[in-house]
Amino acid sequence: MLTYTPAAAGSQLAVVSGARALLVRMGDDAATTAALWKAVSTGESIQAVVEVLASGGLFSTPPFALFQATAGTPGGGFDVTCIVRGDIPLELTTVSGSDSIDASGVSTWVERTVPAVVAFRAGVPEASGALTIVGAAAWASSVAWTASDSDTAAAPAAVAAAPVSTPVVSTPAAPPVAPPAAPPVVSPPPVAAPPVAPAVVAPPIAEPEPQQTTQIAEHTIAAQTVTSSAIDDMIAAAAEPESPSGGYDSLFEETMMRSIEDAAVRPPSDDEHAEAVPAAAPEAESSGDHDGMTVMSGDIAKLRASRKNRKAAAAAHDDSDAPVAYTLSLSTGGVESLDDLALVGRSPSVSKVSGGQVPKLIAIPGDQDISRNHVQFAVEGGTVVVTDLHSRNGTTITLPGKPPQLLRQGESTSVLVDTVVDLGGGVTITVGHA
Amino acid sequence: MQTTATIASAQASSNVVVSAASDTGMVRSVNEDSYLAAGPIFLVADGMGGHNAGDQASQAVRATFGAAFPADEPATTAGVLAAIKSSNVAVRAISGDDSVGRSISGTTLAGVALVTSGESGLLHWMAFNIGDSRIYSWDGRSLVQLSVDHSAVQELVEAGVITDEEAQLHPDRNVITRAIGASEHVDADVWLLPALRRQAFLMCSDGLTKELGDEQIARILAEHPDDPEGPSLAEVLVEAALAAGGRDNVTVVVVESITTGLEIDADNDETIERVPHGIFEDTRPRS
Repeated sequence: MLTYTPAAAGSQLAVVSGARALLVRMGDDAATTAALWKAVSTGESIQAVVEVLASGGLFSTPPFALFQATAGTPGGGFDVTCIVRGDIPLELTTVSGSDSIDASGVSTWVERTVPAVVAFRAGVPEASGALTIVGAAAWASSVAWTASDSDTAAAPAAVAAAPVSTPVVSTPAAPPVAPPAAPPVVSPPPVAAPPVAPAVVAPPIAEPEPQQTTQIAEHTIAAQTVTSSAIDDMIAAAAEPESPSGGYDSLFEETMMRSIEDAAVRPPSDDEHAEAVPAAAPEAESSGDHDGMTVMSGDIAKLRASRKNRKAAAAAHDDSDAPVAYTLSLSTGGVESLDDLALVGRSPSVSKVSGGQVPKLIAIPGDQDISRNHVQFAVEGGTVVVTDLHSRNGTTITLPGKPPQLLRQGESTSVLVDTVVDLGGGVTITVGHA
Repeated sequence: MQTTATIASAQASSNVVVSAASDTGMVRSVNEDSYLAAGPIFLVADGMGGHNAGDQASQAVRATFGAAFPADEPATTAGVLAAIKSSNVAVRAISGDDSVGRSISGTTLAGVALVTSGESGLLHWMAFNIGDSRIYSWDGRSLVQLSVDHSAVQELVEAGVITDEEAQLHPDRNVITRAIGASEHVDADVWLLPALRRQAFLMCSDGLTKELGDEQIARILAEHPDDPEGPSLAEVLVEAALAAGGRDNVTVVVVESITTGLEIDADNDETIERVPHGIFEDTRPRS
C-alpha cells in the first residue's frame, strides 16, 4: 500500500503507480510530468523512468528517489530496486532490520536491489496526515509504502490503463480533492482512458508507518552500492565535451545504466563462497566418506536458481530495450548479422563463457596483421560497443564524419551505424543496420 | 569399441576417430553414467539421484542429444545450447515435483561438438560442461584440463582455502554445484576452439579422475599403440581406473580428429607486429 504526505505545488512531485513510486524535486512542468507519468505507469522497465529524468543531461537531472517492488522474496517481504539521486532520503525496512540509501555525496545516482523489504519511505513528511494513493502524480513531501498482499509481483500493470493525459493536481497546496463521502474510490481501470480522475483517495486515518521507526537494527544488506570506479567512468563519460545532446546522449545513457546495474547486482565473489560452503556441509556429512557417490546440494541449487531468476528478469528488460538489429559488413566480402555478441579475428576462439550467451565467431583468415582474437562487437542496450581484445596491432575506428581513432589494447567504445572498424592489413568492418 | 566418422562443412572436413567405454566399477551396483559418441556430438553424463533416477537422467541427456543432431553433419552453437536446455527439461520431468535434496535426479554433462559458427560456416570445436565430469584436450604431448569442475571443492580451491591435493580427499569432494535437472535454468560453461589440423579431446566421468591423476592419464594416452585390433584408448583408461579401485562408475570418451581444408596455417601462426616500433623512440644513454 502506498501513502503520501502532500506538499505545496512546484516543490516535489510524487508519481505513483502500482508497486512503483517516484519522488522528484521539480517545478510545475506539464510536459515532464506527463512523460514521467507515462514512464511510471505503463509498466516499462524502471530504467525508462530514469531516462526521462536524465533526458536533459546529467547536470540538469533533478534529485529523485525511485522505488519498485518486483518479486516476493522467499521468507517475507519483496525484492525492491531503488534508484536515488541527490539528497532525497530513502529509508527501507526489511524483514530483519532497517536501512537507508543516501546519495547526497554521489554525482550520478545510486542503484540498489534490496531483498525482503516490507516498507520504505522517500522524502521527509511535512504534513502529519499521510494519504493513501493508488496511482497519481501529486505534489508531495514524502511517499511511503508498506508491503501488502495486493502488491504481489509486478503491480504496475494494474494501473496501466490509467490516462496518459496527465492526471496532475496542478492547483496549489495540499490534499488533492478526495471524494468526501465515499469510501476509497478504486474504480476498476477501464481500458479506454478516462478523461480525468487520478485515483487518489483519502483513507480515514493513515498511520505514519509505525513499524518504520520502531525497528532499530544494524542489518547489512546484501546488495552493493555503486562502486566508485563505475561512478568515475560515468563522470568521465559525462564530462566528454563533444557529446551533443541529440546524437550521443542516448548512447551514453545506456552505458551508464549497464555499469550501474553490473556493479549493483553482481554479488561479491566472497559471498558466493560464503553461501556455498556452509550450505554444502550438512549434505556431505550425511553422504559419508569414500562412497564415491556424486550428490547434489539442494540448498546450493536453490540459491543459485533464485539468483538466476533475478538475472533472467533483468535480461528480459534489456531485450525489450534493444529491438535494433545490426550487421557487420566485411571488406573481405560477406555480411554477418550482429545479434548480441560477435568476435572477430584471424582464428577466433571463446574460452569458458557462462550464462548461455555464446558469441558468434567471425574469422578473417590469412592476414597475420590481425590477431587471433582481435576485436569484439557487442550490442548493449541497443548500441554497438566495439572492444579491442588486446590485439597486437590495435584497432582503428572511424565514426562517420570524425577522424580515425586508435583503440588501445583492451579499450572499448560505443559506435554509430556506418562506423568503419579497421583491423589492419586493409581489412575493415562496417557497422550497418539490418 | 572404436569408430570413425567424417564430418564435413562447406570448406573443411574432419576425420574423427572416437573410442568410448563405460563400466559400473567395483563397488556400485548400477551404472548411472551414459555417453554419446556419434559425430558431431561426443559427451559423457554422470547421473545422480535416488530411486534409480540417476541412470534415467543421464540416459535422457544421451537421448536428447542423439535425437537433436543429424549424423555426420556439423552442429551449430545455438543447436547445442538448445539441446542442453531441452535435456534440462527432460531430466526435470524425471524427478517429481516434491523432490528435494538428494532425491532430485540430475546429471552432469561434459562434451565436445563439432560446430559451425556464423554465416561463414567456420568449423569449431565447441566444448560444454555442467558439473564435475571433465573435458581434457590432448595434443600428443600434454594433457590440459579444459573444463572447470562445478563442485564445492573447486570453489574452495579457487578461494585458496584448500589445495588441489586436499580437494582429492575433502569430505565435500562429491558435492557439485551445477547439474542438468537441478534448477529451472541451466547454465553451461562453453568454449569455442578453432578446428586445427590435429586435435584430441578426452571426456570422462569423475570415476576416472578420482582414481587416476592427470599424469597417469597422460602417460596412458602417450603410450597407447595405434592398433585398431587391440583395446581402444577408452577401454585402456577404464581398465586402469578399475585397477586403481573403481569406486565409482567410470566412463571415458576419446575423440581424435584430423581436419583438412583449413585456411589456418598452424605452423606459422604468430601475429606479426605491424610497425617495428622502438627504433626511433629509444632514449639513448647520454654516455
